[in-house]
Amino acid sequence: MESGRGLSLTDRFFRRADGNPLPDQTVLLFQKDTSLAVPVNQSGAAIWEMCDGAHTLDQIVDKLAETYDQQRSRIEQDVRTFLEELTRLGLVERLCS
Amino acid sequence: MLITTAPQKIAWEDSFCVYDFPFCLRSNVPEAQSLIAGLYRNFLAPSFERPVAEAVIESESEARFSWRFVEKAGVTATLPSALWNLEAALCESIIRSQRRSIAIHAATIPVGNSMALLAGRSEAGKTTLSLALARRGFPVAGDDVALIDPETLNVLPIPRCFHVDDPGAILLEADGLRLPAAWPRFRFIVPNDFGVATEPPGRARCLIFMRGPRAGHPGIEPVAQAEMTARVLGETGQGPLSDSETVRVICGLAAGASCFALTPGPLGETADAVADLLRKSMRSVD
Repeated sequence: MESGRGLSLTDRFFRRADGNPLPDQTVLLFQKDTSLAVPVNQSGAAIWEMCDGAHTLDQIVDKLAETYDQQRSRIEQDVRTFLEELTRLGLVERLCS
Repeated sequence: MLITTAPQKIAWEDSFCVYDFPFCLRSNVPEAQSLIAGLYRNFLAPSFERPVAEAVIESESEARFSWRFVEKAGVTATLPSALWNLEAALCESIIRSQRRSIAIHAATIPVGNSMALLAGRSEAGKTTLSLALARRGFPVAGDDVALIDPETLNVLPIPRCFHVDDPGAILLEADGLRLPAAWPRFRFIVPNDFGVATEPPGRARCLIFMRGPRAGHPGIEPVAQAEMTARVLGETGQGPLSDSETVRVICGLAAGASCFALTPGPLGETADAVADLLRKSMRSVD
């Protein structure tokens, strides 16, 4: 089953964890209440930065499509999967519109 | 019979201060005094004027040894058991005495003027690999626990006795390591038996995480600093800092290091591969 289908392109996301950036452009996400530590790679870090309550899922995909040489549909699927996982882990909060 | 010396009332005494944790050692068993003193030889201190915690091993008969340190104490039938118990109690107290430093489960290998940390779960093979690295010329500062100073990020290794079982000893001897004379009698061998690290505490420039299962050949691959941070956090004990501060410190540790995951293979091949990596790391720092 494909994940991320429950998210809407107009959804926005708020960070609910600390992001600890590292010199190699990766980020360690840390949720104080649960002591959950999740490492994310460079593209994950870019998505995390856009979980500021201002960017919609659609805008996040647009931004990444400017950077990554991949089909937009593929990028959208990856972003959906990633954000759904962060939401499930309580690292971001989804604001449905 | 392990001990040929009859129980005596004479007490030898040495004083030590391990990362601001002072204690003295007293025993009526010269071998025990010598072995524990050898473990903490780099931390010898002048006699303390004020009372400090006293670590004691006493032989009450040829098959009865008592040990005590602060609130912990026990009686064992063999001297090795008493030595191991006392050493574990000392290690625990040193860690608990830390008001700031974070304890992580890792072996410490001084490399040039910096440190390499070999992290991994219990039974991952840190001790055996550390000793195989000692055979290849790398002094081992500690094989189990290292403290991280949160301000300087310096690594402060805690020396511990190596817990080597018979199969491990056979593997190490097959790899060319000569175990010290104390091994067959006391099962108590320590980092100073394999060369003393002369460098002062330094920052870690190389972090290696040992992951299982063992493979046919060893594999070493770079890992992202965030991933290494998460793995090291998993090997970090409950410390004096808040969780967020601990994360900040471990992130700082990983940020200043090259990070690798090691899948161990046969001991000799694995130790050769890690030794190569450490030498390259030493050259890149220089």
